[in-house]
Amino acid sequence: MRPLLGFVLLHGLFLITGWSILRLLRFVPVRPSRFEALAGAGPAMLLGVCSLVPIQAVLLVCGVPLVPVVTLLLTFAFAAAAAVLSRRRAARDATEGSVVLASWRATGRARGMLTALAVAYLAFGTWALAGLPTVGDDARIWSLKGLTLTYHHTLVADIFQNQGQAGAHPVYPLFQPGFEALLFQAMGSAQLRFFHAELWLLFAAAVWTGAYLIAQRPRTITQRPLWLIGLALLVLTPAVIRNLAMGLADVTGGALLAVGTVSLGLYLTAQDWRLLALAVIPLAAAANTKDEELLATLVTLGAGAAIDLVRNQRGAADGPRRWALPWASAAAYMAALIVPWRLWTRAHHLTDSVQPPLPHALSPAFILHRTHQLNQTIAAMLHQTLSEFGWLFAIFILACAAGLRTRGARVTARFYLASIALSIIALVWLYTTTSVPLSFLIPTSMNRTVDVFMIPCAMATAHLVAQLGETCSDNEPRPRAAAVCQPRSTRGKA
Amino acid sequence: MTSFDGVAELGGETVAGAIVVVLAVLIARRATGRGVTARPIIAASLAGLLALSVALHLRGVGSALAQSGRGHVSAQTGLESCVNESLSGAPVAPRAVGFLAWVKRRLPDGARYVVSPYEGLPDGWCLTTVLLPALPATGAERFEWTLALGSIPAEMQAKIAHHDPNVRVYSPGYALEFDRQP
Repeated sequence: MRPLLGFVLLHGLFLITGWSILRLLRFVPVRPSRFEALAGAGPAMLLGVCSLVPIQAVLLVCGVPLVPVVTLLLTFAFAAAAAVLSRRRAARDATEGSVVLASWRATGRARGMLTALAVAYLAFGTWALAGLPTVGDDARIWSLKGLTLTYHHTLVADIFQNQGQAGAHPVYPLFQPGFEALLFQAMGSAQLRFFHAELWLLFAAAVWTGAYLIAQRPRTITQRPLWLIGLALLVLTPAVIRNLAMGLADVTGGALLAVGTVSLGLYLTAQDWRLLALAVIPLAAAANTKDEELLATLVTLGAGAAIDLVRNQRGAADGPRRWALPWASAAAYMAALIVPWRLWTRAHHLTDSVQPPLPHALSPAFILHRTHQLNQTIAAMLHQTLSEFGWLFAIFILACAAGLRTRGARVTARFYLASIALSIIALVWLYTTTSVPLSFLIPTSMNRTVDVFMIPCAMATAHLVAQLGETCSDNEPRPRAAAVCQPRSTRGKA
Repeated sequence: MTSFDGVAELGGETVAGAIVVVLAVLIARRATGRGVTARPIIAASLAGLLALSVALHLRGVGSALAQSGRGHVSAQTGLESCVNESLSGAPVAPRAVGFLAWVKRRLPDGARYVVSPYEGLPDGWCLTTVLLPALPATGAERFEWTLALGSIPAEMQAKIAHHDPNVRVYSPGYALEFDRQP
């Protein structure tokens, strides 16, 4: 009984925090309908986890113990801020929030069946993953740190400051161990077997959030949401299920990165600061998952900022100034949640065996001397991508190619191409320059590290399909919720 | 697979997909007398390719989930599973699992232990995970417990011979010593 009660209470705190963020950002109205409350539950859960866990990880580095009381206090802080600020905005919010409902209605008669299938699949996946053993890297990295935090609440020196004991990757950040520890503390005992199912639920919440964000686009409401197939492909990929069953952090990091990337893609089209604010929350969590995700997050943010800057320079004279404030705020939030752990590991002289030898690894000459490793990495990466994800990467390339030739989808396609390409380059660089033999590293890790770009690929493809399916240009004024977008052939005739 | 094979395969898939999309646009335009824009058709063709990929994955995902469902273990077995994994390929210590469970029942929370002599199996990270909340003593730290895992050192054997109550034997080669240091 205690584990179930603790599980419900902790997830209640996540939901309250996430819902407060959605209210603060005006994604949900002050008085939501039953559908709006239900539709916002997935994003609320994801945002709750992505805000509370990284903040508690930073507090942990600062000496504050990782305990549920701190989670409770942080939840109160978010809820109070939302209550105070959203009261002022109540009048404006009244018309917001029904776009998702309109988009959902566009699924027609299939929506009942879709809902039943999604719920059944979620339940089956939860059952299937809820009783698995703790093995491999989970036992030696993630759950080692997670259990230490569960029992000792602090960064115990014997484990976290000891190069030999701190798992195979002592510098890996604390998002997944912190999440695991909070869950086990709330449940009253270390429910190691259940944690795989918890990762599955978090992954489902990320896919749900992706769908929620894409459905926020009012122009899709006249189209049947074919883009949902892109998200279905993501949850139905066997490689993703297998990695979750191993309790690894790659799917979690990839899914958080994907949500942040799509939110950034939407921001670049809509220029709505709320989307950028929403993007940085899962991106900061992704950067706190693994080193690969940290690199991918940084290049994704960099690509987004550069494309937005070019776009703003072409627009109004004060474009660059208008560009700087939101991006500086985003960078400050990211830095506040990423830098403390990195400073802490540096202060305790912790290094990672797979870490490239810096600064030599940045030299083109160094990489040119490692063409054999480069070739090995690219071959293994392509093999993994094609064998585990099938046609997804080819469809992504096609969607980007179509997007680049389409008004309204051009900026998004450019951004997705740039961010995914840079994430791939970053991963190739990590493998090519590491001193660990690739004969060991590739067979033991490539089957999961490709998640860092393949999961964002799936979500980005879904968004591009949604944009291509629109019949209106994005340069037109944004229609109100539930308004019907006229087909192109009839536009201008009224 | 070489990187050339991989690029060729990805290129082949992309070209095949592009042909499907272009054909879909041409057929739709011919059928509707050019009364339709290309965008929704491209979106629908891409969605069709995604649906095909979903169909190709269905069997694999069913198998992956069913395999996970069949792999359920008890909480105890789930925690100790890593002991039976050998990272180096060397055979695992035969009685290590039972011994660690026996030790875990005897170590109080936060106890500090060392494994002496440590012969590398099971690996230290797995051992630490299994024995938490007890902590491995590192550096010059004091420890109260010594685990003999696989072979018992001479000093501990002498204590066993003298029936020292602080040394408890699990089975030949496996013992636990409590050192009451001031």
